Amino acid sequence: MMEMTIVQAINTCLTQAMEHDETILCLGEDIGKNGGVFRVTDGLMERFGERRVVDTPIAESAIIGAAVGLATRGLKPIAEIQFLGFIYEAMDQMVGQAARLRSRTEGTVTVPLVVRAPYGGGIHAPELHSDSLEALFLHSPGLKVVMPSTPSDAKGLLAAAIKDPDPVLFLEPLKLYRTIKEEVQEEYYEVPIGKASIVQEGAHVTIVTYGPSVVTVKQAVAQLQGQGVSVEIIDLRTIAPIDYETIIQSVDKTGRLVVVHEAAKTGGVGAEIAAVIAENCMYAMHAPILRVTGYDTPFPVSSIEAEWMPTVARIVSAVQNVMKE
Amino acid sequence: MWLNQSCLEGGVEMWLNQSCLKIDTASVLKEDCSLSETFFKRTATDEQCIEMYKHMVQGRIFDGIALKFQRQGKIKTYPPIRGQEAAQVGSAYALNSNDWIYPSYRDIAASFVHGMPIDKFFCYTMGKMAGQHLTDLSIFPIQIVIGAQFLHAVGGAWASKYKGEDSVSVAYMGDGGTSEGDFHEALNFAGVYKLPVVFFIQNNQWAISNPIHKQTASQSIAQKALAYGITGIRVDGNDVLAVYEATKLAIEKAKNGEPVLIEAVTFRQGPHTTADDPTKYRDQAEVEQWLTNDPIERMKKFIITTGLWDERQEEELLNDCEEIVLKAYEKALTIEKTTIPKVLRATYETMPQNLVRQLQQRGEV
Amino acid sequence: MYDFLLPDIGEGLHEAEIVGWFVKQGQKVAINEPLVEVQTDKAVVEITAPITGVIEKLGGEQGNTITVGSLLCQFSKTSDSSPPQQTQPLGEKKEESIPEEKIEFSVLGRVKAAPSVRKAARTMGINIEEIQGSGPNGRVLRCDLDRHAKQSSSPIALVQNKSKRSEDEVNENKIIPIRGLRKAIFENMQKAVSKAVLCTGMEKINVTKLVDFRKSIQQLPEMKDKKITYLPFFIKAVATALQEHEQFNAKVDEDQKALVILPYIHIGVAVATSDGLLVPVIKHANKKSIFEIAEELESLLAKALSKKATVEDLTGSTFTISSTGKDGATFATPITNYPEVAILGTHKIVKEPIVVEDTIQIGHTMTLSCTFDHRVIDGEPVNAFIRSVAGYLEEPTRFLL
Repeated sequence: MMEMTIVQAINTCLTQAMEHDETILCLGEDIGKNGGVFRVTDGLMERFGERRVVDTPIAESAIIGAAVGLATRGLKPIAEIQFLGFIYEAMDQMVGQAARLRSRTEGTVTVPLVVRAPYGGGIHAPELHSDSLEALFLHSPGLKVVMPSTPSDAKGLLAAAIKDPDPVLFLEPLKLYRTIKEEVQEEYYEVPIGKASIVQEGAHVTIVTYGPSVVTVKQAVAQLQGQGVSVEIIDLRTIAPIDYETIIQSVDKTGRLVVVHEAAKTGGVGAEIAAVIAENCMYAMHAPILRVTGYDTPFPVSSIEAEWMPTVARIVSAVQNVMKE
Repeated sequence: MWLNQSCLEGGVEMWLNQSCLKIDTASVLKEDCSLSETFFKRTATDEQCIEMYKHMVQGRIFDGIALKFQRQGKIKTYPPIRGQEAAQVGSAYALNSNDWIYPSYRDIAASFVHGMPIDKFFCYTMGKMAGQHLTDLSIFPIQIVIGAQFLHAVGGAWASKYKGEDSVSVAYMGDGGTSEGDFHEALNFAGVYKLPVVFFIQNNQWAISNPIHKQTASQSIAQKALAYGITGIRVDGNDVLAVYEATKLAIEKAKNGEPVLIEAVTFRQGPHTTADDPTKYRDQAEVEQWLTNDPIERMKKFIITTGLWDERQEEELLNDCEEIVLKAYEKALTIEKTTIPKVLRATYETMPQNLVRQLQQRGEV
Repeated sequence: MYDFLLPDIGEGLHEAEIVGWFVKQGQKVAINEPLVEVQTDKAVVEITAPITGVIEKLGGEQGNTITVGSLLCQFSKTSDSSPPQQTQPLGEKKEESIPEEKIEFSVLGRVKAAPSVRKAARTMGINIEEIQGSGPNGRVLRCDLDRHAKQSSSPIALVQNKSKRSEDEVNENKIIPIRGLRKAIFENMQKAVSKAVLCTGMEKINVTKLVDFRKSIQQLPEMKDKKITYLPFFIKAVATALQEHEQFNAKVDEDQKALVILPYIHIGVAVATSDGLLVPVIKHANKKSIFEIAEELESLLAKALSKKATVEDLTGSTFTISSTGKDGATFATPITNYPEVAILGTHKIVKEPIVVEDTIQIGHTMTLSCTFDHRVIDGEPVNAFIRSVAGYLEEPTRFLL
């Protein structure tokens, strides 16, 4: 065991994976000599050379499109999009190509591709550097979308993403890159994709969340402790495919649900979770389902971002509201 | 003949513009269909000439039948290839079987030459997923989005280079595709990484209803290669021998880390697809003009005047080609149909919970 | 007769106007020869003949508009090639069965309550509409239900309720809705009988050696804690016989009028459960040993009975065996697992006098019933197939070959 940040956990996983598998290569903007703008790939080029750690021209569509070409010919590319907000440039290659080639060819062509991208606000970055766009990909059959919130999940889920035979979008909460440290197993291990984790068990209300909001939710739950409310916190970890079983089981037990995420509200992951619960747990429900999310606007200028993102106060208030029922 | 950075040396003043370039259209067959060695030394043997001719005729016969079948409701939307047989056949014929092609929806004759069974294409137009099981033939799945396949070819070529395989990736596209970002990003990547890739553009003058002069202000598509530090060539796309020789040379260059952009100048004689009516936007006079330069007629004249071919053989060939197409259609009819459960199962390697539930809701358990 | 319906020739067209016919009634046309020119919203298009035949009737005259999917012209067929598949007009779906289940519901009043409270009310037999809620905005709360239940549980109320119910029982039929698995079986059986032409061949065979063979296997020390039934032997025999009789490992494609021979042999085994028949599937049974089949069968059965079987476990069979077991009938006419083309019923093994070289001996016999789709399979191949299966069961040492 070793204490690591998310950045270190991902870097360690990439290093270990590349050591064992010659078919893995990393490509992206500034990931080589510079080690990535967040230094996530620091030292990889030194260790594995320019053949396996490739600095690309600034062309997101080409990064994903070429990676699709590499993946379909027996290699395992790990592409980095510098900020998730830049992935709009590559939407066809992500959704029209990577996600669909298996289905288009009935499995005769597959795309074992990992696309890594940092996302989310909280670091006062310029426009399009803070977007949480996961819902776009939740709605893109053929893709998997993984969103860890802790160093150990980041390491294990990345290993699982690398092994996965289908394209996986691996989203890294940039706000948490260095703020959380925890003991992480040094040996290579996998955390299964598609399995949520129950961060804390509780009896009265379920909070489903993922990514940077997990931290905010924990703070809110600490605030609620004195009020006799027993909260179950579920960290989805993977948003596509969603772990139906875990959330249904939890809400069947508690009868109350609050979903928390940073992305905009309408048509977001929370909407999908609410629909799944409405379809499956209606008769267990004591109260309406509530969502605490970013507002339905583009991510705002940095001076107001803290207020735009879900806050402890908004989460506490949502829980109190459902508990009144 | 070859456009590369050296074309800009010396003669360029301060402003770089089209006048800095002299662009020829390379050919082998002269106007009277006799041979010229101005651009290429002919390397195709007599047998290869006949074989290419047969492929072109096969393509055209297929095209005619497919069009009729679509009107009869036997197949769905179909994009005719008529007029582009030389460009498709000449290029694909220059490849080895371990070279990969990355076709768009219209590159049917090229795919046939590279080994795609005709029944697969029928399946494709009949909505059977078996039509896209092609990878054992080094044929990438047919691309519908304009230009996306250029980046896949770049990735494929990159994989060949990474693994040290002796294989070139050839990407097909029309003139309309050269306006897409993916085209430019692909050429740029190919130049930066010196990949074994050939970009083959069939400039058929029309992108549905948009003519080439509204597609680009460049005097040629070939010259676009220069901007990315790769090599370009403009070739008479209705001259199968010229296309063949140009592609063969381009493949050699690509294998040596010199990617090539080929512009084959040709003409789409038919509609964009069976859902299109070109008389709405195109002058018949232009069509008539191009019909006098038909790729199959030109090659036929050449092989007949050189004594390689006669009308009796021609008749036999037409009958054979038709029989092959009709048999392929019969075969396509017997190939298993696509079903909803099959599609649900084909989306991921392992069905996730949501798809399992959707399958269960159909009562498929 | 072949009705050629106007296809959708241009991605989502609704109709076309006839510009002119190239043929007239009574004329013979060959396949792919010009038939008619039509004007659609997108283009003027020539349509050629989909088959060779004589024109019996034109669907309209010059200037008439014909909608996609309606008659363009009628042929009397002269070519023997199968008529092509016809286009479905837009917006019309293929025979989709609309559920006819009658739903009983009451129009709800405007009482407000959480779903969990409504469910509790139903469980407690309380009409929630009659309750005065004590929650915010008059919402009915769980405690309101409890209070109501206490008030109404007087002896008189109970007696009244009870007497009413017993009256109902006397006068009403017992209705068992056909749902879930039973509905699936209902529909599949219906399909098999309405589409296929079913015929059953039956045969009695001598399985004395098989009985001994199984007994000797059962006595092996490694079989100490295991029990092997006859079913794996039947499966193995059928799977092996199917390799030689591939037309039984097939399905009918109605639309294409084709017999589709399947490239793999997956044996379904019909099993009775409390909910109805389930068919666990042994994939690639011909490539598995009898022991492998036995183990897989056991685990599949356990899963099926405990309702843990996955879709994969229960679908994809290419041929089905229906074993009626030791308490079942001697003969049966099993119904095929449509669109499979045949099914084999295996029946109980009994001791019987058997004539062996003019002497009567006591031996074991069993019967086989093979139902097949007579549209695509004739009687003679069925005999051969049954004989082939019997060959293994009568001489089980052949399994070793």
